[in-house]
Amino acid sequence: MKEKLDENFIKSLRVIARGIVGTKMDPDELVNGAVEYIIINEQKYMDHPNVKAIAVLKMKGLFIDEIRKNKKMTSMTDDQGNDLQIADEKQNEISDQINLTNECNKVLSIIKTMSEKCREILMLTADDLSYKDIAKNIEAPIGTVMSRLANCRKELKVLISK
Amino acid sequence: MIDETKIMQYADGTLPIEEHDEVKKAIESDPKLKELYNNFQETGDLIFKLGNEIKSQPLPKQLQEKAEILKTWKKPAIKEVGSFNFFGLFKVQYAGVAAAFCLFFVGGFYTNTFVASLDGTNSSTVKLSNEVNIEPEKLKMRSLQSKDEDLQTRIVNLYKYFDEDIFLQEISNKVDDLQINDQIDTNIEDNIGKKVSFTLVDNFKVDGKNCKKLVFSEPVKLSNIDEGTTVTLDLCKIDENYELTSINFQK
Repeated sequence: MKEKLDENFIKSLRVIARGIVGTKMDPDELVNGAVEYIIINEQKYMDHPNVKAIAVLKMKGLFIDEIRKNKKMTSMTDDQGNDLQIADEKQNEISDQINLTNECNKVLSIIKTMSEKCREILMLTADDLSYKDIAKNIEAPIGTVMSRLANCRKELKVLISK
Repeated sequence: MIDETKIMQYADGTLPIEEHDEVKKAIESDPKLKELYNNFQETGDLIFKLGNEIKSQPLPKQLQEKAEILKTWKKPAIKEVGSFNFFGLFKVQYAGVAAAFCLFFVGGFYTNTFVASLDGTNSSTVKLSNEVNIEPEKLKMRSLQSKDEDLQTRIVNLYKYFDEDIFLQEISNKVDDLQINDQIDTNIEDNIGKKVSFTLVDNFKVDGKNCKKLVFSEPVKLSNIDEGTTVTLDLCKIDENYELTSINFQK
């Protein structure tokens, strides 16, 4: 079914983006970039049956680009070999500006420390996607999605209980 | 033995009804499965709650604006025929990076180990130097066209689409054969997927080294307020390979 593109679509992306970026960058920048991409490519995506999957894919691509770019930047020195002090600032954790209750803030903080695969699948679940839709978004078989989700939820429980 | 994904599905309410009895009996008879079921219920509730809380937050202004555009599918006026669109997908988030970029910008953005002439002129003369003598405030004022221009955004946007290594790889075998005003096509794409091409505009020498000046064959949009910037690249041949020595922005 064709996705309704409105405020709720962007709110969904905000949930998913938090699984992609971990603590490395501001997730809303990622959402902004992906939505901008869709807007610019209006003709291509206005009738697309799964714009959310396109947006998720774009957010992942942008995140990889950003990481790659940061790696390039961290090697910048002046001609005397002095570090330009980019590395430290880029490696700092980015605090999430979203305003959550303590309980949800704790859960989100824990999820952000988990592996990329767990972050992704847990936040896709947080977006209330079905196993089938998650499978479409991460291009994995539904069986893989379920076993990965089960394992990540067990790990989440262990981390929460610590 | 019941697969734990069945327990998860049961806890989530997604298990097919015909499998309920089997899973329910297994949970009731095995304390470990019961614990697993309770844990899946707990994490399911927490994840659901987290998603709802994030969704309940108001959108930041820039996302709200995009939601309005999406609703009407009206495009912002950033797509133009006749210019490469490097207008970005990220704003510069990190002031430190932006500041560091400014250190490089003196009427041009100098890369690798070359340092531009800091003589205050707008000439493209590039000299090989081991000295760095940079006055950020002065440079910033000199390089900004107006207070409305976001130089950092423009530089970062350029580098998002312009990969120096790929560019050099693509043009290195061809650039020596170019005549003035010849165009060279590359596989570099702008933000809207348009292939980027360059035109040779000058041959010159720096410290006895052969250098070339290439210009993006169309103006480049580097920010949402940029109507098109002429971007030139200086390349000099060092040890048989061309190296990018400066990137210059001109209005």
